[in-house]
Amino acid sequence: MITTVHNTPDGEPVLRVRGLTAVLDLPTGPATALHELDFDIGAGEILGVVGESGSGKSLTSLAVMRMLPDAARVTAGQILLHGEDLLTKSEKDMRRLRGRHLGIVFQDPLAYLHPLKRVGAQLRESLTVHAATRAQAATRALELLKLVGIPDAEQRIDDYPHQFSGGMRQRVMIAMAVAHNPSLLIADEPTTALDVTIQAEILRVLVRLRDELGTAVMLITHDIGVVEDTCDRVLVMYAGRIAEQAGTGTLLKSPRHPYTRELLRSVPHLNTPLLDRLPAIPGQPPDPRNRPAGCPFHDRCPDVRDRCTREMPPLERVDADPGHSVACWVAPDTPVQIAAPAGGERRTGRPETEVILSVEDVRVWYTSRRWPWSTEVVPAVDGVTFQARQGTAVGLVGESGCGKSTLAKAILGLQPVTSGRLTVAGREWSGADSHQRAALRRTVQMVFQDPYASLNPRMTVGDSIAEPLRNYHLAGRSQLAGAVRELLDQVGLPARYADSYPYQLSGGQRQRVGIARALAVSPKLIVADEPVSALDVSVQAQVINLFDDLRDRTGVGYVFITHDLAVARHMCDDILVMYAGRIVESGPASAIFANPSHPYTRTLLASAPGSGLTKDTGLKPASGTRPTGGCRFRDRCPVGPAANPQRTVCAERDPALDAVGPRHHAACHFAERDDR
Amino acid sequence: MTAPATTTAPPLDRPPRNRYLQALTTAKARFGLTLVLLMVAIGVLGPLLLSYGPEQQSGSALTAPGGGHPLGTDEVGRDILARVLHGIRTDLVITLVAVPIAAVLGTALGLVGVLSRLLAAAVQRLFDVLLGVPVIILGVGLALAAGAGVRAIIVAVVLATLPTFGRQAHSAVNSQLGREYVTAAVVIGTPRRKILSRHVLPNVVDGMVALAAVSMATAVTIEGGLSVMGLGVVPPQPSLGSMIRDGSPYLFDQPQYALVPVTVVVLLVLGYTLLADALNAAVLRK
Repeated sequence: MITTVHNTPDGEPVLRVRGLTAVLDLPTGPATALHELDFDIGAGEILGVVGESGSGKSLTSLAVMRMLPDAARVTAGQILLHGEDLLTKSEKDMRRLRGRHLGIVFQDPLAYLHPLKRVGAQLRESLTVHAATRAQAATRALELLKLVGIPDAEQRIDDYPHQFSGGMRQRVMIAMAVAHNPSLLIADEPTTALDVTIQAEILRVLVRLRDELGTAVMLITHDIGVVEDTCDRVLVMYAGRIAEQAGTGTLLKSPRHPYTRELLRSVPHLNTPLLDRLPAIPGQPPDPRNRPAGCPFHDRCPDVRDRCTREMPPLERVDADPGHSVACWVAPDTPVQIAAPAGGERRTGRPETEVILSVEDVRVWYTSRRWPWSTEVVPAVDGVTFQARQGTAVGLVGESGCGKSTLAKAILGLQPVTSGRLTVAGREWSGADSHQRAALRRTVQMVFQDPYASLNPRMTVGDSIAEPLRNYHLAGRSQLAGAVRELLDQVGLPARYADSYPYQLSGGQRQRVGIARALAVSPKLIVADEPVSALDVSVQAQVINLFDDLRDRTGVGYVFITHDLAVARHMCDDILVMYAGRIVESGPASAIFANPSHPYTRTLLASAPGSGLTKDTGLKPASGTRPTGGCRFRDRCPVGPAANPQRTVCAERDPALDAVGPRHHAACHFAERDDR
Repeated sequence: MTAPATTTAPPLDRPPRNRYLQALTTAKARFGLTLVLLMVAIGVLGPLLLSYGPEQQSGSALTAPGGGHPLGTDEVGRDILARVLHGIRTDLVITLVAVPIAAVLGTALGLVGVLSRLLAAAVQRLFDVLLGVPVIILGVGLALAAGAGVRAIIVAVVLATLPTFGRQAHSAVNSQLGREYVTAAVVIGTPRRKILSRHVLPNVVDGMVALAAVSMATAVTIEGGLSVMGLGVVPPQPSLGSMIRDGSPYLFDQPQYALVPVTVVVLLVLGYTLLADALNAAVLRK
């Protein structure tokens, strides 16, 4: 039975880490990966560990689990679990501890579940390994699935992992991790691969474990919003050190470390006034092989002083607050408030410009023929209509599988439309001959999500950028180098990068190269598919600003696909919310974020990180099959027939995209009007 | 409007060296390369230093090492050292002729996938059939049809290694075509043939290089296997495999007769394999 609640005897923390130092053996020699970390996690506490790639946040969690990769080793310090040093334990003891007292949840649940074993069997196995009888294990497995909120647990327990959705799999992983009611649960980016609505649900599970069982949770994340919603305290890591540590409220309202402060400012937020430009942190996180002397942040810090470049600041308590410490020479004397930074209100209302993209009742249906006599039709995009104008950005938001990427492919001519009219700058893809297609390609370009995968690793940056110029003979042989230099300059990269290879660049720089390549043919429209989600948080703002600048300078229009509503709110003039291949709500960003009309939009906004987890959105979990006929959202809708059985109209009639305000439309029989 | 912020430029890494050359700097690769080069040097230069030809008979058969014959003589009085050295030559000729043919032909056949899916499927099924036939049976058939000899071995090696090249090329092309940088190339208007030559083929060749080194090792073992059975190189021409066969009856009296060619085969295969491993690691771009 789940009865044991972890109490804190005499305020002793569950986990106490002191002076933890680890070294990473790289081909270039050993590098300090973690430097003298000190932190505690108490029972019933969620500690958020925030940092960018290479900051050492995952390494810290692996060190606690004693699961460091071969190339890494702890060289000093103590990791005390209930006062016992894990670093002195034998591997055999650790194996026992990992099952019983330590649990871990990773980012990708599918990689950690056995594909050929039923979920219940896997759960029972993890229970019986640690001496439970089979009968006990069976009841406990069911209990656990209920604990993590799997609906119809009795039926689902004998399903295979592939029959579960991503969010449900992550719940199963959490159930396994907490099977023995561990005192410490480590969750390493547990929601990064999930949609926002599911992310919110998983985070709620973690909060429940904390509240009901008193589990200590170490939540590793790059998302400040996640921290805001769930964590009691936060550890900000930078270049293998703790930069700042404080209670969540204190940290978010009055951070002391310039890195924390600048990071908080640079991340777009749903509830702060819109800015013309994001206050981006220059530069990028240091390479673990090559960290600067003194304070590792000094080369990006606006408050840098002489001392910072020479001496490493120790982590010191901020006098007013016993739970707040910071490693900075400057910070302790200068308490800062996160006020809205100067930068001016964002201009609203752009002049009516030329329509460059017109999508009229476009359908893209995938047909798959499993047997010669039966075909299966998947309506990925099912009757979508919208326009994009020059110099404006249209945001496409929605969860994975809603059809937004298919729509992007259709706009780029990579996927033929099944029916409807799709015109780019007045020309249609369908029926175009090769000559016309080549001309169309010049008008619409793409920026990809993963800048590493979208650049040929064998080609230099210069060659990649020159390729479109060569394809359209836009520059003669003698002018090519100059043209490449100009494009690099436009995206803020020095000319000498032309001779480097993608692997020598950081993520943000690679994305700039991808943007330069898209700009080479002077397109009228750029489709950007999650262009900043693979980048480090402190670099995202730079790239978002670059997109903004380029739009102002070149008049290019954007179709911006993103799951990050705060980014969409900052970047986009118009927003389209997609669900199950259809647009469920469209309109000016200001209207949609101020008065979300469709229940699905409202759930998305309520689930966005940083909106708080307290309110239950009422969203029903997705069933395996989507309803056909009528409203596609009705099986999950918090206001539809699932909640109000008398609303039968949702199943009977397909809701049309009707006006609910000026230029604001929603496809819902019970849509809320702007003037409500 | 403000100019975009220039990112602070960190010092770039050292200029990238050729990945293959870089792969050869590991201890394993060096050992493999040394073995292969040593065998090549011995096979090419060795015979020049000897006063005996491989088919020259000295009169006394099966003499012990010494007295002008460092490894003794065989059952018809030929110098064993001279035959081993020329045997290495024969093996080098077989590997260096057969493997490139198989590689080019196999890769080409594997690439038909970019022309037509149906054709590719047909070719791949053909490879399945070829792979289903044991090498030895293939060799026996060829020896019966075309007569035993170096030419039959070369054809056997080509037929035996070709499907592997074809399959790997086929799957490499498919995986390349699914890469995002290939989509990116379509979007920036790169013509199809240039996408193939610039983005797909170079990345396909990577895998082929490593596979070629593995196939060299396979070729040596095929030659050995066929010749041991008497279906390979025809006497009096020396080859490592036929020497192992001819020497094995005398394993107790003249152990060096069979064991020296065995050792050479082992070293050659080891060298090629280590080299293939290193190249493979380079290709994976870890």
